[in-house]
Parts: sequence; structure tokens; C-alpha cells
Amino acid sequence: MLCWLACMAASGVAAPDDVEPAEPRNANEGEFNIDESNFDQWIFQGNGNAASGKERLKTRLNLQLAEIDRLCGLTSEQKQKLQLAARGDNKRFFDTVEEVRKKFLAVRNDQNAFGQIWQDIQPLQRQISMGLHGETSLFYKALRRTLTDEQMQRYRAVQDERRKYRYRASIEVALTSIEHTVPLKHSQHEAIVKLMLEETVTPIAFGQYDQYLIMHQLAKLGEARVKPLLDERQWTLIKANFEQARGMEQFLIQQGLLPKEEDRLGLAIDVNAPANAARPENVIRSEPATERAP
Amino acid sequence: MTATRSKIIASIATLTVITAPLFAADDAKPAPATVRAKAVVIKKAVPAAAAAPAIEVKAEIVAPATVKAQPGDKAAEAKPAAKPVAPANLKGFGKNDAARKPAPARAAAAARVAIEAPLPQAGLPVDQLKQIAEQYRQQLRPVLAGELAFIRLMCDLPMEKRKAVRAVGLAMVDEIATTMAEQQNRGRVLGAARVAVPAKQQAVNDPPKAIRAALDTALKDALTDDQLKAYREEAGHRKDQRKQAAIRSVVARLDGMLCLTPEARDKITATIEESWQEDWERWLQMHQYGDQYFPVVPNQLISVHLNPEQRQVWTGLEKVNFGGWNFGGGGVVPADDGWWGEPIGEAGADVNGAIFIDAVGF
Repeated sequence: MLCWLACMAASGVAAPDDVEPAEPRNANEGEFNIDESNFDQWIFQGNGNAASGKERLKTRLNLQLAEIDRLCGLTSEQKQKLQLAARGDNKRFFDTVEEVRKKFLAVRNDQNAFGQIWQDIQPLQRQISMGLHGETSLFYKALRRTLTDEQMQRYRAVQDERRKYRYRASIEVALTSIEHTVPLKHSQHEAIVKLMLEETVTPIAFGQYDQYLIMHQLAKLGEARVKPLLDERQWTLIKANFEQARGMEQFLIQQGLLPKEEDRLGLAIDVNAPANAARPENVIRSEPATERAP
Repeated sequence: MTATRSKIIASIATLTVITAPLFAADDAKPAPATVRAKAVVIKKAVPAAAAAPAIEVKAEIVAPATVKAQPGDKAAEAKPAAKPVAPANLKGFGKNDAARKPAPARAAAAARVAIEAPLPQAGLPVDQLKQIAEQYRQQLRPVLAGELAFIRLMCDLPMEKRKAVRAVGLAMVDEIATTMAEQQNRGRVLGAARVAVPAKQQAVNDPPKAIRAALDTALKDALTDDQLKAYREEAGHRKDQRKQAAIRSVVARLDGMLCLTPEARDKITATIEESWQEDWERWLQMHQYGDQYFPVVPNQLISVHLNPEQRQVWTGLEKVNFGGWNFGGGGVVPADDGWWGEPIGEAGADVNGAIFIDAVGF
């Protein structure tokens, strides 16, 4: 698998482990100390710190709400419900950030323990990158309960179109990378793009693993669909990667790019479960049906 | 694993910035592509705006521990041209990827780093220069392999011409690798990261382009007019595909962030197309970081199509300029099956008729 991953890497570069790491430079030679400002940088990236991170998330939410309003013509009551749910997402996220911050502060002077913190930071980075109000959020759940069928249909149509646009972009980028080693004629390139758009499921999310995702999707189409588009030599080269790509499904599900098995079967969300501490999103649902917006 | 990870984190505080996706503690999982930044220069992307700092990632291919950037290197900031870095101090360079451990420190790219100025030193001995050139050569060979594979697919190249065409490509790889080593040596003597070799700088700035140009010239002698025309047409399509992919990739990610209307997407696409610069093809390299970083797209091409709230988010996005170049290779290359006139099995073709680039320097 890793050999295949090497194939997929757009910029053929060495892993960081290959670089002799420099020793930490501190006032006291050999002392390990990571400044707290790094923590905010890692979580919020260009936003700098939690305050500016919050501000930017708020602006992004406003953009989302404005779009929904433009598409659906929200009532003020609907807006309030959505804002409330979004605040819940934000609070949940920032609460987690603060929990992880505490862990970070506890280990920032301990070089051996510090490595573990990445396992907590990574999901937060992924959340920031993918947005706090995606399909698993309180916001989205509130959206489904608050909008009328017609409103929801209009909103979904725009979201589907957006995901398709992004999917096409990811396919094209992935192909430019694949073509470094398995060149394609223009007509073949176009045929593969078309095949993937028409015969594969549009992913639910996108991110840094798009290239793996595209190869996985292509591999799953199988020999019967892909081989006719290629010549013998191209097929031989690309086929070697397919088996490995097929094996990435669990990883891609774990990354939130492909739906979980139970989601595919429609069993994931128990919307009838009672609201409780473990399932706060159901608080919103617990409102009487008669009070719902049109 | 943990110890390695911790050591890398520690290095953030000094010189090396490593941009790579975080990774769970399971070596069997995919190790995403990594990018090395020799120096990260924080600067304001948009003056007088609440913009996030743009990060200038230079020489993203490899980060040699010996070659250090000048602090406040204004010239370098102003000209973020290709600056491939010597692989001299890489440990395990060229080893099988399967043996590598995953990269832990994606977030490190956002950390500020202290940059030390190199001191002038004596020039490198000839033998050492040759070694450095060889390391560059190994990194460049996948680019050549990709181009030769493209020619092989597109052209019905006569048997007797193949060897000559390949030789031209190899000569260009040699020239670029030697120039890079020379640059590095000049820098060492003058106390800089690298010092340009003006007459040959263009090839070093964009090696893939230089290799393609050299091969194109060689094909003029090897193909009929019609064949050459057909080859160039396909090469043109390939160039256009990369351009479209780069633009679409940027617009799609903007769309996700800014909730653009389809009309706004089309307008932004058209505006970028009109102002397109060839080296913006490097934006493709950003895609592997998901939505975390954006390339430094000229502000005026985007902001004119945004409303005030969208503009606020746009200016706050972290923009990264890939000053280096993409080797463009990686993974599997066609086997040395003798098609190009080289000895069969020279580089260790496997039973599937493919070799891993590790054999030639991945």
C-alpha cells in the first residue's frame, strides 16, 4: 500500500523522518518547551488564536445562513433555530479545544508525552478544515427539522451541485498526478472524468486525502469499466494500484470522506432517541411539531 | 514512533518546518505527501486588512539541514522563484517508501521559525559536488521518466530515433542537476542559501519545463511534421488540463468556504483564466492539503467578485506560495523494457512490467 501511496504523492518528497531533527533551542540547553501560541496556530491555522478563530467561524456561518436564506426565504423563527443549533456546534467545538488545550499544557514540557497530543489535535484540525456545520452537525440536523420539504429540496440541490463541482476538481487534480506516471491521451482523460462523474457516488466531504479517494473510486469501478478506456500498457500500470486502492475504504470512512456502512444502510442517526446529555441535538427536535416553522 | 514524532515537533522551534498531514500511530495507513519548507517567511498578504499572514514556502522538495536561509531575505521574498534544495543531509534518501514512517507535523507549517544565516565557507570538493549533483539527478529522473512515457504514448517514434531522444532528456537532467549543485556551492562560498548561475537559471527555476522543451527540440528531428503536430497538440491539451485543474481546484475550495453562487464561480474562473500565469500550475500542489492552505491568488482576481462578508473570509485565509517546483514524479514508472534502447531490466523491472521510482530516487 505504501508503495502505491508513493505513486499517488504529487510531489515526490521524503518523509519528515528522513530529516535529522534539530534539537529544541531553549534558554536551558536540552529543555523541551512548546509555547502555547503554537497550539492556537495548529488548531486555527491562519486565524492565529481562538478569538480570531471564533470570529472567522462566525463569519462563515453567516455566509451559510445567508445562502440558505437566499435559497429558501427563511422565516425569523427558522433563522433563530438554525443560529441556536450552530451555536451548539461552536460551543461543542470550543469546549473540546479547551479540553485539548489543557492536555497540551500538561505535556508541552514533556518531549516523550508530547507526541500523544497530536491524536487529539488532528480531529480538531479536520473539523476546522471541513467546517463545523456539516452533515453530522447540530446545525444540519436542525436544518432538516426546520426547513420544509420544498426548502430542503432547494438547499440540497445547491449543496449537491457544489459537491459535484468539487468532485470534478478533485478528479482532475488527481488525474494530473496519476498522469505523471501513467500518461493519458486527452480523449482518455476526458473519458475517465466523465465515467467517474457519471458512475461513482459523489463523496460526502473533501480534504487532503482526495487523491486517495479518487483512486479508490476509480478502482471500485473495476476492470470492466476502466480497462476499455486504456491501452494494455496503461492498464497494466494502473491495475497494480487498484488492489491497494480498494483496501483504503476503511481509512477513507475514518476520514469522513466516505459514508460509514451503517449510514449507507440508513441506520446511523436515530432521530427518535430522547434528548439527553449524550444526545443534545435532540433537544431541538423535542419541540412540539406545531411550533415548527412552515 | 512517538519519539520520532516528538523529535520532529521539537525541530519546529529551530529551522525546519515540515508540512505534512497528521497521522495516527499506524504505519500501515497511508502516509500523505509531505512538503518540506526550507524557510517560512511570514508576511502580510494584504496590507491594511485583517488578513492572515501569507506563508511563503520555498524549496518545498527537501530541506537540507546545512543550507539555511538568510533572515529577512528580501530578494528571496520578492522573487519566490524555484529554489530546489540540496538533498545532501537527508537521511535515508531514496529508501523504499514502505520503510518510512508517517509524518506527524502538518500543523507545524503555521509555526513561526527562527532562521539562521549561513556563514561563508570553503567551496565543496569536486567529489562532493558530484555526489550532490547525483542526488539532484535522482530526484529529476522521475520527471524525465514521465515525459518519456508521454512521448511513448503519443508518438510512433521510430526505433532508431528513440535512444537519441532519451539521451537529450538525460543530458538536460544532467545539466540541471549540475547547475543546482553549483548553485549550492556558490551559496556556501558566499554565505547564502544558494547563489544563482545566471546563464542556466531558467532551467533550474522550472526543471520539468526545461526537460519538456529539450525533448520537444529532439522530437523535431525524430518525427515527421504531422507526427510532431499531433504530439504538440496532445501536449497542449495536457497543459490546458493542468491549468483547468489548478483553477477549478482553487475555485471549488473557495466555493466551499465562501458559499459562492454558480455565477460567482464562473466569473472568478474566467478572471483567473484571463490573467493566467504558467507558474500558477503549482497551485495543484496545494490540493493535497485540503482546505488548509490556499495559493497566493492575486487578490484583485477574487475580491472583486465577493460581497463584504465573503471578502472578510477570503482575506483571512492562509495563503501559501509554493516557491519551489514539483518533481511531478513519484510511484510507478514504466519499466525499462528496452523500448528506449536502454539495456532491459537495467533498473529492476518487476513481473508486472513496472518499477518503483525508489530505484531512481523517489
